[in-house]
Amino acid sequence: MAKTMSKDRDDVLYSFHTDCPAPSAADIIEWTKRFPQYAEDIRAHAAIARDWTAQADVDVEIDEVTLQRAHSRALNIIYRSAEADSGVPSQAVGFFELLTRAGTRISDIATEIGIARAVVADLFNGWMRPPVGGRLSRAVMHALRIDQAAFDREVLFALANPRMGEAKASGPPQVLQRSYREIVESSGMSAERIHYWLEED
Amino acid sequence: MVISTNKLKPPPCTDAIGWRKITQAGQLGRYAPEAIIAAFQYAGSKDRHLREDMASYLSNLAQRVLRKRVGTNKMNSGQDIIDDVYDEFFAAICNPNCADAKGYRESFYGRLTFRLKDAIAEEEAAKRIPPPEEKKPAARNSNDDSKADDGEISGKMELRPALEESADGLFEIEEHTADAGVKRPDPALLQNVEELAETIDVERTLAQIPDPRKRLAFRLHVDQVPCGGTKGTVSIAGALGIDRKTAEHWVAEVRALLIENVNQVRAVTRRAAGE
Repeated sequence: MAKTMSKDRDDVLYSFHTDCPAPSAADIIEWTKRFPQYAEDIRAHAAIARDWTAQADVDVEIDEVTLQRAHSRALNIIYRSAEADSGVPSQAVGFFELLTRAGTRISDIATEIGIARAVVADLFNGWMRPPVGGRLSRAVMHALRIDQAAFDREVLFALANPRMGEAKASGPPQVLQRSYREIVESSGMSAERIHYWLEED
Repeated sequence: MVISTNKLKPPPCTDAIGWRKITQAGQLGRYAPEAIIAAFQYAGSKDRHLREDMASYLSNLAQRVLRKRVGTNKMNSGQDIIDDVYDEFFAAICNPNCADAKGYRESFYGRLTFRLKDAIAEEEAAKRIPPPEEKKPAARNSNDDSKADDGEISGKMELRPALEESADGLFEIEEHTADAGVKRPDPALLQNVEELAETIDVERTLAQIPDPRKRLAFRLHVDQVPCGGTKGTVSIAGALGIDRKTAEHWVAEVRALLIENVNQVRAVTRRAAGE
């Protein structure tokens, strides 16, 4: 990894980076003479600097899935860092506790992401067998501000501690755990919405 | 290299309440990234939700900076490089005492693009396995070869004039076809399109060359830097630490590739114009 390089190397190349954003031949000769031990690095950085200078300065659009994926990676790193600092691994607290902490409700999440409320409820009640669909996972992680590892912990926690279903005349309340596909397909959503939620990016 | 100017004066980096208000109002964009990173590190250490909200903002910002600079011609469309630099960025700012964390507090764009440059250079170096004959072209070439190289280079060295001459020729054809009564796009507009297409194509073609030294040699050639020269002369050979013959060989190689690609673009443009 780049950041494991020596401090001297970093200092020299960073100074070159800031002092010569579009290095000329004279710049390259000067810097490689001053720091011959990093000559190849200086030339490699110079080539990339010149590539960037020639690029059009246009902002790029990044799709929402990529941004959410990146956000999830960031949260993972933050959690890992916090765990490393505390030395204590995170514990699952339950989706309903996370809902309270995030100041939201199942119906709010369902409305916001455009999915049937029953699907989110089944997930939180511990009635959905993993794997949970990628689109739903990301949407819930975003709504509850948790990373993938925390989400996985919560799914397992909910499965191990499911809420009871309604009692029926024929017997006591039962827990019916179904797959994500079964739950989505029986949710009453339009065919188009069902297709969307079953599709993977 | 602090680019963030015209930003508001931030509250102290330890002021969790102040930063919470800014975050909830969706106003992080009004503050310099360096100030947000410092607040992420200090105020964020007291308030987990604040840290996560700031992470969301910084995440989007970092992604945009990185994606803008990484071509999709890289391995896995450049996503691997972006992920590596992005992860390093967040790992660094989660550890306020590391050198990079200080660097990001001083210059977010400068440090992030520096790390990106390093990661791209690393990948390019890993991909670069020069063929044996490329290592010592001067030794391989006989005198006759050298003469042949010199002749080719002197004949085709000036890429830009050659392109301009060809563009003029296309412009004449457009005027002629318009006179014949056939409906054609405005020639001036078409010329602009052609110039733009060629500019884009030159960069796209250069981006396909995996060896950064060859790209740099060509760019210095466009700067009108000579391939070689007497001791003390600023030259491509001197800048790249190679001999003159190798510099000439690289420039000629890139130029040949460019001419081939630009001709293809020109043909497509002509077809689009209905010829």
